[in-house]
Amino acid sequence: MTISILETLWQPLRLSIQVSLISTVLVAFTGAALGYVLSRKDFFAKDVIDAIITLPMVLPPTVTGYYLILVLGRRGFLGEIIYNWTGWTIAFTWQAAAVASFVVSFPLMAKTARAAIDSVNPELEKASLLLGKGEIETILKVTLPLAWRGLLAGVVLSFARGIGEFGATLMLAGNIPGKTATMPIAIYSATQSGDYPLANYLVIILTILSLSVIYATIRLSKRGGVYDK
Amino acid sequence: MIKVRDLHKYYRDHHLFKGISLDVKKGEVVVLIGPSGSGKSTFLRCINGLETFQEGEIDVDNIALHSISRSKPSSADMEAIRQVRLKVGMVFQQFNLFPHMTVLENIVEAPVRVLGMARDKAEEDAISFLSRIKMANKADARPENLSGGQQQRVAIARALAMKPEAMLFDEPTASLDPEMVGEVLSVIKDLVNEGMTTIISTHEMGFAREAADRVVVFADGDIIETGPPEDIFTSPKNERTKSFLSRILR
Repeated sequence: MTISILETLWQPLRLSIQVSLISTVLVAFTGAALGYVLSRKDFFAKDVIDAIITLPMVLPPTVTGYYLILVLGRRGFLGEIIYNWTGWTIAFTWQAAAVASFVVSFPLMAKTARAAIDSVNPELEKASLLLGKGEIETILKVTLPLAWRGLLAGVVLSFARGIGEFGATLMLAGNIPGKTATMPIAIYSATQSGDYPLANYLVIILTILSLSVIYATIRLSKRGGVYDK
Repeated sequence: MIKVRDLHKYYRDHHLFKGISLDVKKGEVVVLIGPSGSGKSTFLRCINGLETFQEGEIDVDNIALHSISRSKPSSADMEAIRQVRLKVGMVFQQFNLFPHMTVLENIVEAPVRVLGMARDKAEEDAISFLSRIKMANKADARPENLSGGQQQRVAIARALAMKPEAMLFDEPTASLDPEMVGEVLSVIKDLVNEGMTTIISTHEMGFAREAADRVVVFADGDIIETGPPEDIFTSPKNERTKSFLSRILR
C-alpha cells in the first residue's frame, strides 16, 4: 500500500471517528438525562415525547436529513437565524455530520438509558432520599452506579450508530472528501466511481470496527450481573 | 413528637384515609397492627414524605408537613420533608441496602455526605454500631453476601448512623426466614429499651405485646382501636380487632 492509499483510507476513518466521538459525548449526557426523566417522572405528553424521539429510528434517514435541512439549512428556521447572526452555516461542514449522527443515535441512547434506569429498584432511591440526600446526589450515587452497564451499552451502541450513519449525513453535510465524506459516504463514492480496491479496504475497516463495538456491547450486557437485579 | 391530624389520602378515586389522627410522644413505642392492605405502610410513608396526602397535617418535632393537592410539592414542602427525614429514620421490609456498596459504605455514606461528618469518625461510629449488632466482621462484605436477617440489621444500623430522634419500621421482619426474625427483633428491642421513639408496623404479635407502649389497630385505612397491648390482646372492644386477632393468633 502506498502512502497515498493510506491517506485516502485515513481521512474518512478519522472523520468518522471524530464525528461519532463528538456526537456520542453529547448523546451520552442528553440521552441519559432524558432516559432518567422518562423512567422516573410522570408528566403530560410523556408518551408523545417518547414517540417523537423514537421517530429517527423508523424514518428513512433521508427524511430525518430533510427535516435537518428544514431546521438547520441556510434557509432553515434555525439555520437562517444562525447565518444572519454569524455569517456561518452548518450545512456541508463536518459539524453537520456530527449533528446528523447525534439525531439518529439519540433515540438509541435515550431508550437504552431508560431501560437501564427502569431496572434500578426505585425503593433504593427512596432509601437514599430518606437518609437525607437530595435528588441529584441520589442520581449520582445510587441510580447511575446501579444502571452503569446499561448506560455504557447505550453509549457504545450510539457510537456504532454514529459510525454507520449515511443518509441524514449525506443530506445535511454532503459528500466533500476530507471534510464531510465519512466512511459510509466514502464507500458509496468509491463504489460509484468503480474504485473497488478502495471500497474493499473501507468496507473491511468499517466491518471490523462495527463488529468490535457490537461484541463489546454483547459482553457488557451479558455481564449485566448482580446489581441490575 | 409526632402528631398526625385528620389525615386524608386518596389514590385516584379510592379514599384510603378518611381523617385519621395519632399522637406519638417522645420515647413512646407504638406498634401498628392490622390486615395487609389496611394502610399501615402508607401511613408510615406519609410521615416521612414518601407519600403525599391531600388533607390534614403531620407535625414531626414542630416541623409541619402540609397536605399537598398539587402533583408536585413546592420547594418549601421539599425542605420540610428533608428536615423531617433528618429526624426520622426508616427501615423497610425489603432492607433496601445499596447493592453496589459494602456494608461499611452503606452506613457511612449518608453521615459523611449529608451531615458533613469526617469519614474517619463516621467509620469509627459505624464499626461500633456493627459491633453492637455483632456484625463488625462483615464491614467489608457486600449486601448480596449477607443473610436477610443480617441485611436488615445493617439497614437498622444505617438508619441509626444518621442519629435520628425517631424510627419508623415498616414490617421489618415480614420478608425474613422465620429463624432470622428473632435476631432482628432483638436489635429493635434494644433500641426501644434505650428510649428511641418508635413506630413499627408488624405482624409479630409477641413483639407487639412485649415491646409496645401502645398498640394501634388499622383496618380499611382507619384506626379502629388503640390502647395498651394487654387491653388490645386480652379484651379487644372492636369486632374487627377481635376477628383480626383470632385469625392471626390462631
